[in-house]
Amino acid sequence: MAKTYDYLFKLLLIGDSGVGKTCVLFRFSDDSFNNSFISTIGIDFKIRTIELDGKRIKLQIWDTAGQERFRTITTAYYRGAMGIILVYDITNERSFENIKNWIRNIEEHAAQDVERMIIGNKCDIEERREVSRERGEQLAIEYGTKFMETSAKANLNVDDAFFTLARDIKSKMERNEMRSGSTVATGRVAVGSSSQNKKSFFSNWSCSIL
Amino acid sequence: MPRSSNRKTFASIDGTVSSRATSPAYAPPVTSFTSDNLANNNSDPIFGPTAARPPSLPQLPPKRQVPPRMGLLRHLSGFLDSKRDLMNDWEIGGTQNKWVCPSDRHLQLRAQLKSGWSVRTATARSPTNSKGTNGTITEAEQEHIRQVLAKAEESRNKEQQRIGKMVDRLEKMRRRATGNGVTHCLLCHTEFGLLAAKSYAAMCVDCRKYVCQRNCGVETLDPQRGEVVFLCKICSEAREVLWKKSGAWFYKEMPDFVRPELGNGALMSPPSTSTAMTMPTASSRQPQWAMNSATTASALGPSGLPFSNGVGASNRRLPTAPNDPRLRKSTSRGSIVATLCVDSAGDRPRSPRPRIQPSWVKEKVMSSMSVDDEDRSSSDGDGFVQSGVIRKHHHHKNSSRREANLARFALHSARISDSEDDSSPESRGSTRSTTSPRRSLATPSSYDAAPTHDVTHDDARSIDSGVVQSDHSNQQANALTLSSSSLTPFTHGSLGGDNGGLTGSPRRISHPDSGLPRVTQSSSGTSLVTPPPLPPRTNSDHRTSSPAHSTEHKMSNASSIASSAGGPRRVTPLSDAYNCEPIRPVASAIRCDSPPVSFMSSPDDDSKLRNRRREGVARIDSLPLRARTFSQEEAPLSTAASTSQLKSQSTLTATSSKDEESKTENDVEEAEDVPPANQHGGGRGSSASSDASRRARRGGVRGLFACFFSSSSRRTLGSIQFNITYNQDDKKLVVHLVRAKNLKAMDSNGFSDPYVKLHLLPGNNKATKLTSKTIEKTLNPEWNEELVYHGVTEEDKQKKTLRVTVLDRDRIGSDFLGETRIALRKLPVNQVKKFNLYLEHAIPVPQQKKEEEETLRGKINVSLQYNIQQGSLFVNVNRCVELIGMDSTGFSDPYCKVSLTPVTSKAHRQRTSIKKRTLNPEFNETMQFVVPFKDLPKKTLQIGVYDHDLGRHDDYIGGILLSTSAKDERGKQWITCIENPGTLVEAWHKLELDS
Repeated sequence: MAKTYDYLFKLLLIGDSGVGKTCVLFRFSDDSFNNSFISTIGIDFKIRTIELDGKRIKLQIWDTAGQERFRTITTAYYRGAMGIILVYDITNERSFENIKNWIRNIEEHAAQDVERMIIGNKCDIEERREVSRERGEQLAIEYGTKFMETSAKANLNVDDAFFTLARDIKSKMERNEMRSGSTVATGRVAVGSSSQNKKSFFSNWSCSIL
Repeated sequence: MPRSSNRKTFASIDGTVSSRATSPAYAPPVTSFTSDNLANNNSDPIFGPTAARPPSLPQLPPKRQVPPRMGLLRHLSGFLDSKRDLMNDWEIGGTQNKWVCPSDRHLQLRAQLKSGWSVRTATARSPTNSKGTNGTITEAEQEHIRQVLAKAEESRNKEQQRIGKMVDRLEKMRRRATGNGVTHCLLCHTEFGLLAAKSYAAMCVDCRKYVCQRNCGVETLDPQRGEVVFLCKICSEAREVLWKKSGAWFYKEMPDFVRPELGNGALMSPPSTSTAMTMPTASSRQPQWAMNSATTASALGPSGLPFSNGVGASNRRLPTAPNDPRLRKSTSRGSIVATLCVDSAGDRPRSPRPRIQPSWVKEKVMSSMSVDDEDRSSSDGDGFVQSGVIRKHHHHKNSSRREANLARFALHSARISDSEDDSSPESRGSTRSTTSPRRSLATPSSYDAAPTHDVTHDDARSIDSGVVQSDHSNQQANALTLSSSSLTPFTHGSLGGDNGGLTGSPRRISHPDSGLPRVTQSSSGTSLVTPPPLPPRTNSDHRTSSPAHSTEHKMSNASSIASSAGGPRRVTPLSDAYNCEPIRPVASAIRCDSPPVSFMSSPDDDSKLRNRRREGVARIDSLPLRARTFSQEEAPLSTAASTSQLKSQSTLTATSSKDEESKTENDVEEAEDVPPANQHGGGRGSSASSDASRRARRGGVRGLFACFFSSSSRRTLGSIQFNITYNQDDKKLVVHLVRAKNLKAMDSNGFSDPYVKLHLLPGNNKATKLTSKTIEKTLNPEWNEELVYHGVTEEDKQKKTLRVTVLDRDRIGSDFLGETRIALRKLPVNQVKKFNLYLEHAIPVPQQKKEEEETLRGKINVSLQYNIQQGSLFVNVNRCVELIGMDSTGFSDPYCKVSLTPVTSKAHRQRTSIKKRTLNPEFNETMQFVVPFKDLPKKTLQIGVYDHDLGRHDDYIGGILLSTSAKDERGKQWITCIENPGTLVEAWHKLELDS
């Protein structure tokens, strides 16, 4: 681990078998793509370090097997994940419908405040599209998650998706302190105020004189 | 449970085939593999908060019949499976032999599928597969998974090392930070000169030490308080490392880490110690709330968090063998964290940045170093409250409630005892003398509950007041023992200790107090006293919580019996580990010096508390230093059973820092003093070591709290009293400031110069600001001043919130003393509403949307009257409010141009005078427009508000048009004016940009 990083985020890819989770991950971590379908065995993970707002964030992305028979292994990994990407295949209606089940699965096994995101993969194959973008968006709105259509093959939005999720986690991390602290604030909106800046300006100013 | 959940998963994932999935024919093998070994091992494979990585895969059950091809085709097996599965799914009867080639029909159907192979995901579901291998994982696959896990393990180890390194570095930083943090910078030892001090030094809000502002500290936005806070480098690093970088923010606990081996085995427990032996170190600094959770014995850190949902480390750790390296690791983790956090413990911050003033500060330092510092208790109490990294309110509430609970019990029992009345004033007197003179500045309202307060207060610190200690403490303890034992058939020892501690004779009694529960635990094994949570604070009758007390009592009773039976004994660390928690509430209960009847129910009640706090401001909390000293030796200490051992350690410690020396010696003396005071109780060693460990723990716990779970729920900023009247007709909001009480002292003289600022939110800061006069040098200012907002319309009333901020006037700028907010919509109309509210910490101001700001240009109050006799219209421009600031100062120099268009005479254009530098100008100028009455309906009165600029075009702020065709209020006013000549029609209008 010669490379240093500031934060470690653990992400998880889930979705039906064959939707392209592994391909998305390979695209993101190795920038490679393999057309043949090799089912993931159980679990695997890849690492990529990205930079966000000057902070180096190491993403450890767990790739799970979509197959049912690995389910018990894969669900064990839900809990440690800070972000979960739900992947479906836009050319496969069924995988889209299963997203609901996957979300239920997340609710059952993952940490409560895990950051979620829905990805419709294979968006390069427009001609075989079965799930419209709108439906994807609708679903994402329904579950209050972000949504993106990606293509690992054409390298569309893959990086975006991961960066977006990482950013969401990061801001949650920063917000986290805030929320726990301002619980007593009787539900007032908390937005950073600038009123204190002036004072600090003064103190700095006098400091620099000395 | 495992099995069922397993099935549930199947069912939920693919509802369509789930019915088949539950067929018992094949389900058992699947579940037995997974549930036993993988799914249910409670540890988190990715993260694994514990070091206990279950040997999941190595224990995989022998696989069941794997056809040869599966072994060969490894990776493709899934592919094949899905293929076959697809096929089988079409076979309704499920009788087809899997080795038989699919029929043409099947192939045809398959070819029609566009959906790819992912249609059928589960292979284990199909009845036809049940005899096959589909449900299980082949050996090759297992091997593959094992490799992945090994890789993951490796990466996790690296991560642990990384965190360990960061923690280590942090600790080194702490160790290096030996400046006293008062007259010298904590970090770099730079002396704060007399001249420079005020501006150069800044206090870290976390550890309450003064550091150089520029080099040794950073300013960060504390999202919790929504304000910029100043942190010393250590504390900011601690926040970053222990909270964010470690991932604790997500996992709600500090993950494991491995420190680089640097030979500091001091933190390790002795090798001979068993699991139990190692626990004291960790749990002695364990936050109280951890004990609240089910994992009573949880050894480490915040693992017992209620919301960690069984991720709790302790469950797994406890059964492990003594020599388990994992245990070692985890132990060191707990202690390290604690050690690390020691310094960050501290008082509740008084301000974003209180400033140092060398003269008094030095004096305080000296006093706090020679005699014990009074603020010890406040710092203890506040440690929880104090802004650490993590804030978890419910925890704090729990603990504080528990404290309160016990406090009430304590007070209750104190009152019962006859001796109380005699002894407490005495002790009060003596301790008073040790405190700073500021104490006598106590607020008037605070004295009703004084006796109990003082007593508890004094004992709360329970450390080294030895110098001024007089005999009465001992005497009091005995007296109490007698009196309480006459009440209940308890053993003398326990009760003496217990009540003594509770009623709080200074110093010694805390020994028995602490020594007692230890025995409890040793005798009772693993049982733990967790006082049930209190009824909410608002509950006025606190004795309703007595069941809790009785439980506590019984426990101690049992323990004391046990102890007396066993005689003096060497207290096992196990018991020590357990007992810290029971002690803690008791000890901390004492600190809760709220009046017995109403706990913080009204601002006046906690004035005592405030006083103490105020002292805390002035005095420098030297506790963290001491706590650190002890915590570095925690392992030996926790096992220490004899005074001499303690002494030697203490002496050792004493050399570490000159500042600490005197105190440490005091500690030693105290330890030696224990036996006489504790004659009835358990072993003297036990109390001594428990005392020491408690002290260590206190530091640690406090640190942990400060770092992780402190909160700001305890409001100690004082209170403010004011009346608000909303006058609907005049659209006036009158705020009558009465007084404030128990404000925080911000100035070096122990006072503040408080004044009040009012704002209407949301709204322009400058435009809605009203400022009261400043009352100098007081913490209980009486303003008796009326501040009036004009032009508060119904709409405003629905939307806006009044913010009342109390500030301390400084020569330059001001210090924040607290604020409170009132939503205007809750106010009654045309009625005086009285408020007496606690002040709160700064709450971020919601920012206004840009567009909204654009549309809000201000309001204007105009009265119109047509005088038929004079044949002229009188326009009175009364005032404008909340104008937008056009100049760089944020203010405007407003004036109004009033014209009656179409203009028929020169006199139909008029203007008001210019009001300098204001956003709420009061013009109150009447203009006369000579105009025939019959022309009036055709006319339009145009009022524009401008900002006067020198040498530039005047800026247009906004305006209104009054005419018969105008909408809303404007048209209404104009028409009313025309319809009712001779009457004065007054109205507020919103200024608009495009009129």
